[in-house]
Amino acid sequence: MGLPWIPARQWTLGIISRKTKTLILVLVASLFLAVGLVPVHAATQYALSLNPGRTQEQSSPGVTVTLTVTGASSGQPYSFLLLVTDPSGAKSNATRSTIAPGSAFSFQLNYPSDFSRGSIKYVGQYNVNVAQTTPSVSASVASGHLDVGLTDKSTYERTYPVSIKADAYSSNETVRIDITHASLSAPDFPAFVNADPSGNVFFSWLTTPDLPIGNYNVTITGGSTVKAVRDSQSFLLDLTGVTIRGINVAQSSLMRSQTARFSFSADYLGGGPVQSGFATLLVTQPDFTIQQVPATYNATSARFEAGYRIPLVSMNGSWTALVKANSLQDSYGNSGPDSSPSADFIVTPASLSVDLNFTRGDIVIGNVVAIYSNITTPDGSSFAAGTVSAFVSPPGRPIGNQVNLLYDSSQRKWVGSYTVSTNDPSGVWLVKVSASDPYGNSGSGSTSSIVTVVAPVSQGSTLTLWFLTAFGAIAAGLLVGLFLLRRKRTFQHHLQVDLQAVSEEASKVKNQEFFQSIKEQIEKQRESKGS
Amino acid sequence: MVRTITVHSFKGGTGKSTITANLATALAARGRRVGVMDMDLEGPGLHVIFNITPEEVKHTLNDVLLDAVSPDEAVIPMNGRLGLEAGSLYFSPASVRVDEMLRTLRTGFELESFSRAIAKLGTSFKLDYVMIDTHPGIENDTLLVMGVCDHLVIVSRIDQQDIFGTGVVVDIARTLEKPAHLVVNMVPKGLKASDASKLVKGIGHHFKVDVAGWLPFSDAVQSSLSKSVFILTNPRDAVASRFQDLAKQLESYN
Repeated sequence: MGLPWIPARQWTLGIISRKTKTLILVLVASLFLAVGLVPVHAATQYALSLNPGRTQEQSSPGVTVTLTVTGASSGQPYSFLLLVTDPSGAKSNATRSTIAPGSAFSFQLNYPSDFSRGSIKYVGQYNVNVAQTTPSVSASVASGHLDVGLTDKSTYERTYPVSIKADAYSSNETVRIDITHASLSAPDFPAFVNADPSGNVFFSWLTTPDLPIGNYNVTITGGSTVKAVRDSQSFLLDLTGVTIRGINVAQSSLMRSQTARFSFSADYLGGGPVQSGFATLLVTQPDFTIQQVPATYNATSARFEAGYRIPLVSMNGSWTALVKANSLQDSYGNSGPDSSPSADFIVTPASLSVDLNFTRGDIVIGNVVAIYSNITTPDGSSFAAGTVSAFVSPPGRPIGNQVNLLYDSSQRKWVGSYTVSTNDPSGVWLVKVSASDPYGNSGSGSTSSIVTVVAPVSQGSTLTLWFLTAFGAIAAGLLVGLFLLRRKRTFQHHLQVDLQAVSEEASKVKNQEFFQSIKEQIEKQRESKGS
Repeated sequence: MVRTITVHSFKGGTGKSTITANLATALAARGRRVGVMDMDLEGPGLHVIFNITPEEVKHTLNDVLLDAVSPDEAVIPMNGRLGLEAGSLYFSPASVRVDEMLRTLRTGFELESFSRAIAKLGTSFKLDYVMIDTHPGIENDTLLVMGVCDHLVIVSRIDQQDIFGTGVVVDIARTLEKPAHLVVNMVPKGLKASDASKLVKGIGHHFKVDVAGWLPFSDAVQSSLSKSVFILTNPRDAVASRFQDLAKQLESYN
């Protein structure tokens, strides 16, 4: 009887002998055994790294070449052939064999020292290829490249030095170094330097803050050596930043109206002082009100300087000043700083200086005497807004009579008047003027005058001008004779002209509206004639 | 261009009208074309010196100031009357009628219109000078006349009050930026000329004013009773000679 799906003839064949069954079972078991004995691995991976990825010509210290293998067979021997092709096409190689300690391993070699005929003497790209010879042969399991140049970096900021190295020149050979920008030689180039006894060339070029930014090209030309690959490469020069050394405030304490003077110096990031340009200072009051103050470079003092006049209405207390971030810019476009130190100073109320004028000598009862006071702030400016009072103290009246003064902008003085009364005695008069404003600025001054109080006279006699006009003094006999002969008269003139009274009389006229009108009309006529 | 000279004094009785008339005539006698205006509206007197009767006056300065007539209609040519052969003199009288005077004074007048009147007079008669006689003291109309002039001649006697007033007028003229020139009149006869000059210069120095000259007190001038132009009736008198000198001095002012 066969299995339902198997035809009978085939069922006949399905009848297998015990021997055959045993053989099949052994084969299958062997197969499973074989499979169990031979491990099943993930694909092996290889990574090549070169450190540094870019270097300068010269074989020392060279470059570290690292091969990392993952997914290796532990205990399996591995062999590799590393081949480096330099820019001239020359090849150098190295081999390395190892037994995989585990599934991952790595090893390092130094180029060029571990490579036969290896060198770093040309500018350009060095290609590295890793071939595996054991356990399996593969022409390339990993590859990479090394860049070699003459300079230590490919990009620089102004004020930093450019280090130049070159190899493979003759011992003590004089080589020419050219650095150009936009086909023009950079300052101080071409330069001529001697290689050392080993044929190595070393040179350093300190860039200045004013060099044009952009692409530069450096080329080395041997005096006798002609290299297979010319020593020439380009690099980029960019702007640089600045730092602030410290801010100085000339006075640690100032009164309002005085000018706070700031100074500071700045350096480039690559070194060297900043010697041009401008910046902005932030001057902050105790209430955090900020004033931006421009600072400019002073070539004489070799510092950045700024000044800020402290307003009369500003706050008292501790103020600070610092350089605003990125506000400093030199004449070449370099800028900064990222941050700045600060300086503190104290502001106090202004002490006003008060000078005054008061008459001395004779003053007439009923006359008005003027009081003039010149009041200035600590910086010498005219104090023009506030409360100013004068106290006029004749003898025996210590408190004095108060007189309010008003500011006359045309004279830039405070003006008031005092009317002399019959009660005012002669003697030493003391006049004191006090000034203040709502912000706490204040000051006072006084003067004393010897005053004689006199009763008024009809036409005033404070000034007397005598004109001697005529005379006639003849001896008695001569006079009689002359009188009989010529009848001369004698004159004696005394003309007393009170100039003060003249001026006052004229002022009465000049203060009249009609006079003012006439004056204005005259001025208009003059203007129209002029035009 | 016509130059306007105002003759003024702080106090009355200084001889201002006499000086105006004689100076104007002296200038005309030197070949100048001169107009004379009597702006003493309260007490005009030039018409007496020039021998003009009220009937001869058709229009006066009052009419001009009231814009009733043009300036040239209020002018009386004087050459024939005065016998002037060289130069020309034109007189513009003020009204002697009180009502007219008061009307003018009450109405008042503007500097610009007065200046225009003078300019028109100057153009019409091609005048070199217009001399304006004012009334004494400082009032609106005298200020106005000061305002239109190119030069101010201040007449003073050697008198305390005159000198004081001179100082006041000089001060005012300085404020109006009008060049002022002092003429000291009626200098006492007993004073030597050198002393008089010194005295007058002293006054000028004291008030910082230019001194045009001085005139001695003259019995002859007093005797003329202001009824004639002295230099024409007394051409050989020393005072006439001094008027001539004053006229020369006026010509030297720009």
